Amino acid sequence: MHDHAIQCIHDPLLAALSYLVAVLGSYTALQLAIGIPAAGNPRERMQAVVASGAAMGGAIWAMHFIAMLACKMDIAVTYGLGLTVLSAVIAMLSCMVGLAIAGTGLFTWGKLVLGGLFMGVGVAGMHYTGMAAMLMPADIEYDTGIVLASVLVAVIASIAALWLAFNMRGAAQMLGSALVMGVAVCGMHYLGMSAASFHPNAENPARAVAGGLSGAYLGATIFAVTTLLLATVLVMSLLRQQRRAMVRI
Amino acid sequence: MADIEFRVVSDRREGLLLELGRLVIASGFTLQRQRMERTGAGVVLTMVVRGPETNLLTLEDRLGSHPLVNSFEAGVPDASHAPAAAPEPARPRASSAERGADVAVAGTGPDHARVEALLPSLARDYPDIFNRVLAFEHELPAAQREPTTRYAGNRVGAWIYKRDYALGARLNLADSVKHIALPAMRQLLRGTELGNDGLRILKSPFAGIGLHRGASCHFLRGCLEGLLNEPGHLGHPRILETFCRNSGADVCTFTFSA
Repeated sequence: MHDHAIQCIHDPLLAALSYLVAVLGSYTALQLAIGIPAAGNPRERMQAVVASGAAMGGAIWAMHFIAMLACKMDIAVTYGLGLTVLSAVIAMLSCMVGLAIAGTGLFTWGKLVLGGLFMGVGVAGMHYTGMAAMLMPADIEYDTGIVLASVLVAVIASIAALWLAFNMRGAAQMLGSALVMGVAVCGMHYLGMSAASFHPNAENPARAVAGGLSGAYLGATIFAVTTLLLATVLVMSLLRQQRRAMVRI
Repeated sequence: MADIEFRVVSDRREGLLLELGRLVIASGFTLQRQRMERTGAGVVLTMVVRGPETNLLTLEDRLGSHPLVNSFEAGVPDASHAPAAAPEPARPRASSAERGADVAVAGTGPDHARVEALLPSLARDYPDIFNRVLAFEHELPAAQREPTTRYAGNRVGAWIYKRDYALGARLNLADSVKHIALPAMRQLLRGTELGNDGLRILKSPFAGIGLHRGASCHFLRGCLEGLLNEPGHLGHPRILETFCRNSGADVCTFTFSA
């Protein structure tokens, strides 16, 4: 380990907010996902898969970048647009696949593990792509062992979250799955951050960050994503309550 | 062997004949002829089936608890095939007067009309429904108590499933019992647990009230059937009350098999 590695000090309030956003987004996504088995035709099923995967991927992405904003370093940092967008796409697509697998047909341990694998790897893939998007006058070195551990945390917690969401019913299903998925996303992120060390390089700081998205732009985008997730969960709750009241005996 | 005519009313035409045809065959009967038509009451499927009279109660139970069946009546085949009117509640078969009371019981299906009248009040009172159900059971003629309360339980169980348990993965039978039937029954009755020998209800309100000999928790059995049949993918699991406090057991126990 180099002695002059840059410290990343996490703002505790923003770190707490990152967990809240992860839980909120996971709740929204998993509530959409448990509608996959109930879909009446392939089109409905695809809609549920896309909506839940997008919500889950969006939640992971928002959590990551809130946490990155929470990470205070002594150097300027911006984010490359291409890789930032790619990180969101990776998260969304892998979550769509994972949720589709878990929500199809009779629920089995094999589907659970495969679905959790896709989701966990998606969480990790999003994180490390997001890290690669960082534009700064520094290089990142990773501790391979901790990186692998972070992926394992994401996969195991994703499996647990999927089990709660699809297997259980009631409060455990709704809230428990979201809390556990929040742990998956945040646990993976902060463990992944502990695997990284940032070492200043000789690059001109102004040139290093040129062309990247600043924290202000990211903050606005995160706000929009989070608001959308919150609005979705409120609308879904209302619709579900209405639907429940309309079920005739 | 006997020929029986069933007139079934359903909301849905697609798949109705296939589903009920499977039930008929699974109950040991053969389908002799059938006719389907749309009326003001819904889709009316008239089937004449042939099979052993000893299996008739089983077939009637299965028809009564099938999710596609709103109501049905059983009787002697009508050779003229008159157009179907709105079905009346199930009436005893013409030949039952020549046999003993036990066989008359076998020929009597659930009283759908009385159950339909009861259900809205159960929905309002849920989960505190047992006073009403017990009063309802007391009012029924002895021959109709078992099939009618079981059918009422069926409808309540299906409703609970649609309301509270429909969202989530399709579970196998064991997981459905654990994650759907058990919590649903706990909502209705404290002291419900899952043991190695089945689902155990410690304080069934139907045991020891003097209405039945032997197993008495027909409403609860019907409820469990409704909860587990409503998802549609478990293939009508068989639910039996293997022990009942009314028969001297410590607890009422229900077992489940595919």
